[in-house]
Amino acid sequence: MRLWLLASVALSGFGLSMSASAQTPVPPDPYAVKVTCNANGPAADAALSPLMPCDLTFEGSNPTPVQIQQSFDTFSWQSFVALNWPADGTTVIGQGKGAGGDAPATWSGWADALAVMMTPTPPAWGASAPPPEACAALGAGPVLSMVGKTPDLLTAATQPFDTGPLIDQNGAYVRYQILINKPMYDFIIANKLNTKAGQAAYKPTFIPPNATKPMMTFPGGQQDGPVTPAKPVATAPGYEGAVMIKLAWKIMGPGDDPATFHTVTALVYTQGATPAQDTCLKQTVGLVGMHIGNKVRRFPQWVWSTFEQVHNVPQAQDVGTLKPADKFNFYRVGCDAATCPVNQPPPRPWNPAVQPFPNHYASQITRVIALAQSYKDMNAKWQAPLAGTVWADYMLIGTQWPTQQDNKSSPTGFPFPVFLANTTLETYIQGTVPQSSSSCIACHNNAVDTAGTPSDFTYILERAVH
Amino acid sequence: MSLTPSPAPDMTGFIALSSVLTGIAATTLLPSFPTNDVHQQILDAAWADDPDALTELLAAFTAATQRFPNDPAMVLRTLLVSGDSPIALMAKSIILAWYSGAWYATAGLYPAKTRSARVLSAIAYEQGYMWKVAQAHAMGSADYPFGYWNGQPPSLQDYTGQETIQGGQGQ
Repeated sequence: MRLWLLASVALSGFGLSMSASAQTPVPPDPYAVKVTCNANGPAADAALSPLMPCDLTFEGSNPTPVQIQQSFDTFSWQSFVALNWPADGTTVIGQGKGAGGDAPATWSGWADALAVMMTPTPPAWGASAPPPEACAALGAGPVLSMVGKTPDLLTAATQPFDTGPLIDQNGAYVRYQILINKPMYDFIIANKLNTKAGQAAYKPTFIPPNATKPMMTFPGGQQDGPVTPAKPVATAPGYEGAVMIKLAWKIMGPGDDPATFHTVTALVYTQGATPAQDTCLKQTVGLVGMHIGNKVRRFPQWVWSTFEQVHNVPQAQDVGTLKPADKFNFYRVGCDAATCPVNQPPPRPWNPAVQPFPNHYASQITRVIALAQSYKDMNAKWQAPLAGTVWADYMLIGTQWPTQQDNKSSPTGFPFPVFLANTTLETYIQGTVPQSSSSCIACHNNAVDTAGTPSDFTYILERAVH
Repeated sequence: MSLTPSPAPDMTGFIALSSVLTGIAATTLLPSFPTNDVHQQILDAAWADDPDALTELLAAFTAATQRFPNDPAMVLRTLLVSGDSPIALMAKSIILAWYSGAWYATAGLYPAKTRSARVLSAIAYEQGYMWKVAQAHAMGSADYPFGYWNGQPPSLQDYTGQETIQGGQGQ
């Protein structure tokens, strides 16, 4: 890639301290949680571990741009493995009792962002909000809201910019879910940021290095060293900062192999025009997309990772070479462009109460930006130890990070890659058009709370209704 | 134009020259981890316009730097002293390119009767230093948080990477 070649100049101006453990220890954020951190760098083997990385680990004191990106991508895979590690604390990832060794993931105990922001009394950490009345008789389970129909209530559960729902090959709407970890939950609750009044009263005091005035700042992760070399992973003491994840789910149906998806049994809730018309179904859903936003102390813009199920879509450049037997979650091989317009939202009306989508419609989606060979290599490295499990059927699409994280004149910090999209979450805004195509940092930089205060790259706070 | 093209200049020398011409720090013009190729677009445009003039300008820059070490203002004056020479016109086009994101053909700069310019790209326009030295941004491309217009912008140094804008005294 041209930029990589041009970047092969000395990295003296690069704003990172390459060794986290070499930094002068600084007091942790009050809401960060003391943990043992995964401190493996990209040169290490792809070691499966329940430990989250707390910071980036770079190779040597003057890594090349390629090595730097590999560090971020390693950070992403380490995070993905740790977050999806079985929640019981004893089972190894991929060795659960479910199909493909599946098991409930660590994040399944995290707080639902909508429940935190939209209920008068947010559930305590570890507790669930009462389900909608329509779901009450179905027992426990995560509630997956519907898309599009009632934007005042549910936009946080739809794709960014409300560009349109995604319809799988069985005609079912993809569902979305946003979860936050304990440091993020604690910061919101302690500062009363789950309410409009609390947001209006909140006065930030910390000036981030990319700003000129105090800004709301979620707790960031940091690694305090020293690193202890060990197998399978080197460890270091540190702190876990705020982490938010956004999940995309498809309803498991005909043609779907549950051994290739992480699945959960969810309460799939669809709000009707009146409460009496609300519906709720207990269904098995499969994970097709996962965003991870990880606040790292020295990256005020957060680090953004995104993963997909490997059978979601073909790459646009590969469409001409597909075989009739090739199957995808969101692409039908052999369907002509007139019948199956590519990367277009479904025709209106979008009414999730009517399923399957009328006229046998299914989304016809391709990946616009092809996966670079470096990502294919990185994915192969991490999928190898996960072979035979559901987790080998997931791949990293990219890690976006700020290349100049302390730049005050450009607070987004010149993100790299400039554009990054998940085909299940930014389906219709893929591409490379400035100000239009998907960029995690550029988009989330616009986030504010209900008082109009910048909310540190999260849109969650603007969902407060009380 | 050269009958036998010589190799295009290397980026390091071009950035050092550009820094003196524009008053913008070299590490700002070309960060260690660039996320766009505006620098390459400008170099390519300069080379396509008049490779001989660019080669001579870089040679003159090297000589002037050796003669006036640590005095970029004198280096700049040396390069621009003859306002209508090929190397001075090339220098001016390079300055204009970094600031405006457009390439002004050197042949049209003097006398300024046939001036023609083309915007190099959307990103070159957006990243033009005319916005940054005004502590502003191109329309529709602000990357500040909501409400930024209600406060003071970052300092000029934050935009230029320099404590003060150096040079600019010649011509």
